[in-house]
Amino acid sequence: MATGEESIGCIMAYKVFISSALKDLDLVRDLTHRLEVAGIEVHSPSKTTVTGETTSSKVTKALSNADEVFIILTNESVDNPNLMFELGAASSMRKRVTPIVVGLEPAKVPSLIRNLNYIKYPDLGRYIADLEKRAKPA
Amino acid sequence: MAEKIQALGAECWLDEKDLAGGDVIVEDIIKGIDACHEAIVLISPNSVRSQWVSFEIGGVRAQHKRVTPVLNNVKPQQMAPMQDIKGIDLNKFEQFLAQLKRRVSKWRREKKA
Repeated sequence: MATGEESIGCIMAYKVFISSALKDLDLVRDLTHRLEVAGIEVHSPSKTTVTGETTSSKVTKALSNADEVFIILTNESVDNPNLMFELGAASSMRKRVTPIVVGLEPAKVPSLIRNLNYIKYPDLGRYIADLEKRAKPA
Repeated sequence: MAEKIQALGAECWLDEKDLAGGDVIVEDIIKGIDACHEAIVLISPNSVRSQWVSFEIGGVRAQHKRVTPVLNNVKPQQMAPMQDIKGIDLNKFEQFLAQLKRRVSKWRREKKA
């Protein structure tokens, strides 16, 4: 006998795309682990690309499949045009965008990011707990 | 550039002209991109590191709209998110205008049909 879940097909996981500089891969790994523990599916260029830069078409395709986009901003990435490209693409697709600011003085946070509600890395645990509740199927 | 484009009968959305004080900048840029058929990005030594220019390029490409980099004293490879798109030199802007004129005419014909 089919269960309720089987009768409506598989339940899709909430999907997060992580945008970051290549130098911040340790942060991406930490964030990915914490999100996956919370039942969130994670996509990031680092998971699918071994070397070199991802092309913009690959990135926009991955963004289009995401429910939410995290942008990790550090001293390494604050001037990275690829992150701003991905932010523009996500905004244009009306995705929920959550910048995560790590170790940056408020004055160094780009004006574009100050336009959005960003979270600081120490507050990430609380945000992921909220996200886990939001991502649960009704 | 804007004057020459408007002379072809096309409307121009310009961030410095169309963003009023008090506007929510990100939202208004995206609305500007929504309303456009294509975009031109002027890339100069002043704009090549601009966060806003990279943001706008991402916004346009996500909507699969034509975007043409117009290069003014910079090399295409200096603009990371545009590396896979053929740019034109500012000195050859007239060539771009001739192509744009054909696209505007085609759009008008299709609109009438």
